[in-house]
Amino acid sequence: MDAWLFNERTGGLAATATDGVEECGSAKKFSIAEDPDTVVCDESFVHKTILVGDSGVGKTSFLVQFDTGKFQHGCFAATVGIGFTTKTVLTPEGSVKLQIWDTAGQERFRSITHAYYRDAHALLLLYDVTSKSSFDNIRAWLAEIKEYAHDDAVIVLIANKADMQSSRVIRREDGERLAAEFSVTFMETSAKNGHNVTHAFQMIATNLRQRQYFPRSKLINITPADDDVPPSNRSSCCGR
Amino acid sequence: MSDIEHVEGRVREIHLAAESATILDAVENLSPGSISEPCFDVTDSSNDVVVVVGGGFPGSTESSRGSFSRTLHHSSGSITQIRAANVVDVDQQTVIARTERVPAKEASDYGEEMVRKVHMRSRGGSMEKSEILTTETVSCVDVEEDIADENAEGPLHVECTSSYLQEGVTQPHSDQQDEVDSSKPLPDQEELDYTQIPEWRNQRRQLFVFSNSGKPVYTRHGDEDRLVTLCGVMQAIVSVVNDTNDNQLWSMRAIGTTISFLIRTPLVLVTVAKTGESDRQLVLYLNYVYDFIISVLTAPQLSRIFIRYPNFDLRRMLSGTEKILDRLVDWFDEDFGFLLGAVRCMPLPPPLRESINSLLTHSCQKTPNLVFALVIAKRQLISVTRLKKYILHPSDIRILINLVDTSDSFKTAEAWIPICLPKFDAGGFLHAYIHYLRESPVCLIYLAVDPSLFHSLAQSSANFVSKMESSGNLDSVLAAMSSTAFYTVQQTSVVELRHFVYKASSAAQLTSPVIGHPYVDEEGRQILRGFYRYLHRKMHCPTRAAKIIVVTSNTEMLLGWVSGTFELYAVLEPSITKHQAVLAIEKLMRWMKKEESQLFTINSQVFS
Repeated sequence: MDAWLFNERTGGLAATATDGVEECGSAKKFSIAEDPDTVVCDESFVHKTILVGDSGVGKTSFLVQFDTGKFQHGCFAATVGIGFTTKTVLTPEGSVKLQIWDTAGQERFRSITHAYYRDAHALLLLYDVTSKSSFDNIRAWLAEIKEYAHDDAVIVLIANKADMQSSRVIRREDGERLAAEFSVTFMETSAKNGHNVTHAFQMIATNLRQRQYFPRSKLINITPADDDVPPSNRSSCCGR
Repeated sequence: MSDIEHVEGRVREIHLAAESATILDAVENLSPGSISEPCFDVTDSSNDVVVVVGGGFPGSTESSRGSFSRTLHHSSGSITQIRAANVVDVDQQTVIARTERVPAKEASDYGEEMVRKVHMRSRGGSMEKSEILTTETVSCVDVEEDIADENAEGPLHVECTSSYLQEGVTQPHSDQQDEVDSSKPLPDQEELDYTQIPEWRNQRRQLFVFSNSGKPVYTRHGDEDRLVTLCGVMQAIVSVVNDTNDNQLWSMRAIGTTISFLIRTPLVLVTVAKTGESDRQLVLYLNYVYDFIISVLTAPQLSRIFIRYPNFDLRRMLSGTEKILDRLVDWFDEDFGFLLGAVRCMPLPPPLRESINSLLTHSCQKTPNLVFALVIAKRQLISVTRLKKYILHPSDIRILINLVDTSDSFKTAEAWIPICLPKFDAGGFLHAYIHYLRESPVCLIYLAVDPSLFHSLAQSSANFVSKMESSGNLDSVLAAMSSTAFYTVQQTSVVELRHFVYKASSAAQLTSPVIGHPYVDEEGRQILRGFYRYLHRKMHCPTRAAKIIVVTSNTEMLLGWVSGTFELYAVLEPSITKHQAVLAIEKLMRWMKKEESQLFTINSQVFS
C-alpha cells in the first residue's frame, strides 16, 4: 500500500482519480461518479481531528464549548493523556463525523501525541492571546506538525481567549501574519463566550468534506482502510 | 494539635497482649497498667529531641544509638538529650546554648541548634541559610502546651553563644505571629518569606520533594520557587549524614513534630508532621508520594533525566500533575486505608456484584493483551479483574483511582493515557482506557500494555456498557450508591460501638460506616483519624507489635485487633467494661461475617 501511495503522489492527480477508488479499500466508504454533481459520500466515515498547543491555552475548554455549549468556570485542570470525543457536524453539503482528539499540552506527553499526528485529517493548533510564550511556541508546533502529520492535513491556527481584551498581548495581526507565513487558516476564538468555536469546526468539516471529492484527499482517506475494523464499527466504537 | 497525644493525655489504662486464643482470654489475662506508668512507647512522647540516623528502617535504629549523647542545659533544669547513632561529631562549645524562659518550645530549639550545627559544618556557616532553617524548626509546637491553649504561647527568648542563633531565633517570634488561623490561604506577596508566615509554619503536615542537587520538585504548601533556600538546606542536612559511611538520615524529632526523610535517589522526600504518626507511617506516606511521581514518569525515565542533567528542574516534567498530587496527599490524611494498605470497596447486593464481575471478566476475556480491568465509583472499588498471574497492588489502585477521580477531563470524553503502576512495574507504562459509563459516576478502566489498543478497548467498553445497561445493572448500581452504599454503625446493632474500620486482609479491602456522632464535624473526624493512626502505630510497632490493644479514656474506649485474616480498629463508648467491649466486638464480627459478600469483592476475578 505504501508503494502505491508513493506512486499516487508522484503520478499526478488526474490519473489517479478513478484508479485509486477502484484499487484501494476506501472505495467502500465513498464513491465518485462520473458526474461530480451526483457524488455520494459515506457519512459514517470518521474524520480524525486533533487539538494541539501549549498547556493551558484552552484546548479542552474549546472542545467542551463545542461539545456541550458550556464553559467550565473556575480552576484549570490539565488534561492527562488523550481524550476522545465524537461529534457530527452539519455542513451545507451534509453531515460530517469528526473524531476529536484532545491532547495534553505537557511536554511529557509529546512522544505519545506524535503517534497520533500521522492519522489526523485535521489539526487545530491553539495559542492563547494572553500568553506570549504560547504564541512563540507556535513555530515549534508547526515544525512538529510538518514533521509528523500528513502533508494534506487541514491545519487551522486558533487564537483562543480572544474575549480577554484587557490582558491580550498578541495582536490579531501577529497571528494573521504567522498563519500567512505558514499558509494555514487563521481564526480568533473564545472558548468562554463561544465566539467562532462552532464556526472553526464547521470550517474544518466543510474543508474535509470537500477534500473527499478530490483525488488528493484519497491519500488521507486510505489510511483508516488499512485497519481491519470495518468502517461502520469504527464509528460506533467511538460513538457515545 | 495532635490527636494522638490528645488521647494519651486522657488515657487511664493500656493493656497489651501478645498471644491469646480469643479476644476474651486476651483481655481477661492482662495485668492492668496504671496512670503513673502507662505502657507507652516512651520515645514517642517524651521531651527528647531525637535525631535518628541509621542504615536500616527507622524502627531498627532505636536500639543501636549510643556513641553520641550530649547534654544541654536550660533554665528549668530538666535535661534534654540529642542522640544519634555513631555519627555527627559536633563540637560541644558551639552546640550548648543557654535559654531563658522558654515556654513550650525549648526542645525544638535544641533540635534546631543541632540542625544548625550540622548545617554549619557542611557549608562553613552560611548565615542566610541558617536563619531560614531556624524559623522552620522553631515552628515545632509543643503539643501538650498546645492542648492547654493553642494561642497562649509566650514570646521566646534565647540567649546563645552563637550570633547566628540570636538573629535567627528571636526575630520571627512576635506575639502577633502566633495568632494563627491555618484555614486561611497563604498570603501571596512575593517578598514574604514563607518561613516567616505563621499560616505556613503551622500546617499540620508539610511535604517537600527536591532533587539530589537541592532543586525543589514539589511542595504541598506554598510555591516551590520561594522555598528554594529551604530545600537547599534540607539537602545539605541529608548529604552531610549520607556522606558518612553506611548512614542514611531517616527522621528528626522535636516535641510534637517529626521530620521524616525518604531518600530515593535522585529524589529526596521530606515531611514535617505534627500528626503524631510514627516514623514507619511517615515513610509510608512519603512512599506514596514517590510512587505517584513514578506513576507519571517511570523509574528509568526519572533516573535517565537526572543522569543526563543533574540539575534538571523536574517540575517541567510534572507540570499539570500538581493538583492530582495535592489531592493524593490530602486523601492520605482523610483515609485511614492508606496506612492499612487496603482499598475501599463499595457495598453492593451480592447478586449485583456477581453479575458485574462476570460481565467485566467476560468483556476482558474477549479482548487480547489486556492486563487489568476495574470498575470504580466515588473513589471506591466496585469490581476488579486481572489477567492470570498478575496482581494489582492496593497502592497502585489508590494512585489510579486518585488520578481518574481528580482529572475532570475524563468525565467528558473517553480517555487514553499512559500510566506507570509502580508496584506492578516501575519500569514502564501501562496504557489506561478510561470511560465514565453514560456520564454517571461509575467509571470503567482498562489497563493494557500495548499503546495501540485504544480502538479494540473502546469496542470492548461499548459492549460492556450496553450489557450493563440492558441488564439493568447500571441503574441498580446507581440506586445502590444512593441507598445502601453508605451504612451507619447503627445497622450493625452493636449499641456500644461508635465507629470502626475493618480490613479484610486477604482481599486488601476495607470497610467502615459513615462517621456519626460525636465525630461528625471536621474536628471530630480529625480526632477519630488520630485514634486510628494511634492504634495502628501501636499495633504495628516493629519492636513491640501487639495483637490486641484496648485503650480506655474518659471519652472513649479504643480497641485494636489484628489477626491473620483481618484487622479491626474500633471506637466504643467509654463507660462499658472490658467484658462488654469484648461481647460487642464479637457481635460485630458475627455481623461482619454475615455481610461480608455485600461489603467486599472477596472472590478474586481472573481471566486468561
